[in-house]
Amino acid sequence: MPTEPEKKDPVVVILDCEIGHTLDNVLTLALLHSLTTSEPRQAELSAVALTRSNLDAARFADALARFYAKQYLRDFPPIFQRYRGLSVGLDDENAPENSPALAAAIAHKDAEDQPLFDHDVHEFTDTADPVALIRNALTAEKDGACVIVLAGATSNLQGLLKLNGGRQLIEQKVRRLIISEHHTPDAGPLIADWPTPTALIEASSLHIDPPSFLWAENHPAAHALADSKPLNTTSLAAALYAAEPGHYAFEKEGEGPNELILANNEPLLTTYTKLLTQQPAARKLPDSLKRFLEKEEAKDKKRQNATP
Amino acid sequence: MTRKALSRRTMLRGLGAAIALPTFDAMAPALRSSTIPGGQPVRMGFVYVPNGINKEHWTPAYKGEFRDLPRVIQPLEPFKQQMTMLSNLTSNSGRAWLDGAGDHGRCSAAYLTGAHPLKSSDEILNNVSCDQLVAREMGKHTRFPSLEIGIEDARQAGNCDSGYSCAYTNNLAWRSETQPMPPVLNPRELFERLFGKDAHLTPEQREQRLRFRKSILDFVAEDTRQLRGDLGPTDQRKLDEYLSSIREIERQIQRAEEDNEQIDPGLNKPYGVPADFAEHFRLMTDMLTVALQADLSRVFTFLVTREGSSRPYREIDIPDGHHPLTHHRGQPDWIEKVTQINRYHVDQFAKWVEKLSKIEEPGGTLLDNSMIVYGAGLGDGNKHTHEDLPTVVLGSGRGTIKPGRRIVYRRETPVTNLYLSMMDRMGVHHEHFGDSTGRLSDLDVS
Repeated sequence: MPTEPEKKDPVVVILDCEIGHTLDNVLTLALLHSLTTSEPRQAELSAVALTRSNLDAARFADALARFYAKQYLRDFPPIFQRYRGLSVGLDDENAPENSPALAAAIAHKDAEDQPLFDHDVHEFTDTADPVALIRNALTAEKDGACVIVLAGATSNLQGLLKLNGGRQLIEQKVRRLIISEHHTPDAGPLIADWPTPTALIEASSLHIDPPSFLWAENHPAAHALADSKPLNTTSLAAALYAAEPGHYAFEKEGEGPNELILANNEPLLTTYTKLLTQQPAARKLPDSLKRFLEKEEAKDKKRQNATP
Repeated sequence: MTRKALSRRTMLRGLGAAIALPTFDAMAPALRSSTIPGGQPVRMGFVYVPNGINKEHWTPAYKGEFRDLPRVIQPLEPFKQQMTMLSNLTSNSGRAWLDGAGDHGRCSAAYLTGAHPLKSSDEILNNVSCDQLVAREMGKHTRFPSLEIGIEDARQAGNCDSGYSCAYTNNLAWRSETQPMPPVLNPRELFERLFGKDAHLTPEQREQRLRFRKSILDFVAEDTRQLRGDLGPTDQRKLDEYLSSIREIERQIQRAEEDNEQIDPGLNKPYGVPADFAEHFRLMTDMLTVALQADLSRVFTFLVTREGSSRPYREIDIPDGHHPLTHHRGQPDWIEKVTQINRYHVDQFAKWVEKLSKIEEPGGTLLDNSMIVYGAGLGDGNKHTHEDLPTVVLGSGRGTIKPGRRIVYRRETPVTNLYLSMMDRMGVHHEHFGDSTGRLSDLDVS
């Protein structure tokens, strides 16, 4: 059983979902980015893998990550604003087209007819094999630091269990697997085979209207959900449970390593909205980077003075 | 005319010297009856350059069949039909994980092992490298299970990168998790290793050899005369070419030692080693060629310069250290110098590939019957990335790889998947290796 790291470390979350199949996962992804860019950091989204999705969904996920990263690093010199995250994992390039809203969202352009949102997914090879991606993401984390949130097919995680060393890595790094029953109704066999504690978020009856991201004139999620009906909140609950398992509005049933969580209480809607609509904090320049920049500036000045 | 089948193990012998032979047609019946599956052996090798490669001038803008090659890799243009470029291969074990700084130490340690090394400057722990897994099997058929060569002198102990031992940056091959295989750097040492030392001669014999500056070939002259009579015209020509190569190498070594006394390159020069990089490269690869030709070994690694090398390249008018230049922070003049160094390395490699492509063997050429990976353990030397490692494979592994193209794999595809595929082609099958997730698809001849 992996031990939990020190309380000060934010939980590391790996999201395995199907934003190309159901738009409510768009909010789940946005929530996790919001938690990652909060101050203090409430969670750290380390990798995103997709099932039942397609390239448009992968592009959207990548664009959303870069969008939040740019906001978070807005006080850094431009050369240090580059996105350092892992590529999006995509299980199948031949998934049926089901993401017109996502494609339309990232196709928006500005007044100069330039794309509003950057992404680095142009073809299938610009995405990662999701099993390798999740494995690689886990290797970079402390023991017991990770939570995997599953809101989609179980195929990626089953693949990880079968991978050489995969099961041992899960035992070492993953503190809990949290599953959205609304998106993963067939989770039983996975839960039975999973080597660490699990939490099944029972399909919630709560729905949420797409929020207004007032801090951003153009927000990819806002564009994607512009014409959306109220969205199911089960996967939002799963994401929140990863960061705040002690939230008062969750109800827990059963004992033992496999929990059943009920997420039907109205106060959760307030929490979701608050977290979704909070502006990313502006990350402070680390002292080491400040010193490095000062040294480089001094070197540049010296070089300029030396040039005849 | 009945040809006598020569044993593959036939040697030219005389006065304490022994020289192996290349593959002759006269050996073909004996080869087929040997334990080598399919007769002609496949060779596997890795040529490694440090500090990453400038991707802008390495990666074509297209995938599939080669057209014009970018600047760094352009010297391989004549051989692009025997080359396969593999993009998006990743060495996750080279990444930091929880260990902080030390990308150079990690990337070279992980390159052929697929393992995340222990961060320590005095206690090393890695994994067996893929070439050594193959060497264990090939060593049953060849005199040397593997050959490790290099050019840059480097220590084996101490801290070479942010707490990582020099054993990690200065070795590619690992026989066990704690035993690196240091590369041979001195051409004379390599020559003596391959063709025998004269330590067992009596003092009179040694003096005689030195006084008359006899070529080692002179000592096998009687054997050579006898053998020639048993060979057909084609094999006689091959024998002459082969022995000429050995004599030329001897001359090069003597020349290098003479030149060393006259040249002051402005840096510390290892004893007995050519001062000129290109000459050193050529000498080492010429001997490696002879070794491969004569089936002295089928597995090799060539650490061109050690990972993190700060060697200047005055040969091409670059007095700045290689490693510092790669941290260019976008400065165009530094990027240009890095590109020139990258291309200079490929230039030397291409000259060697040309030689391999001209050596005929049953089934094609020595190049055709090889799989030689040329690449780096870092993707981008400036950003210290471990994905999209610059990787080309020269040769088709005796017709088992379809060359002449660039294949782009999915991101995070482990480079160890390539090694599993190569090991298969050497007849060495493993279920997993390092962080592999399977074999590389699309390599095969369809």
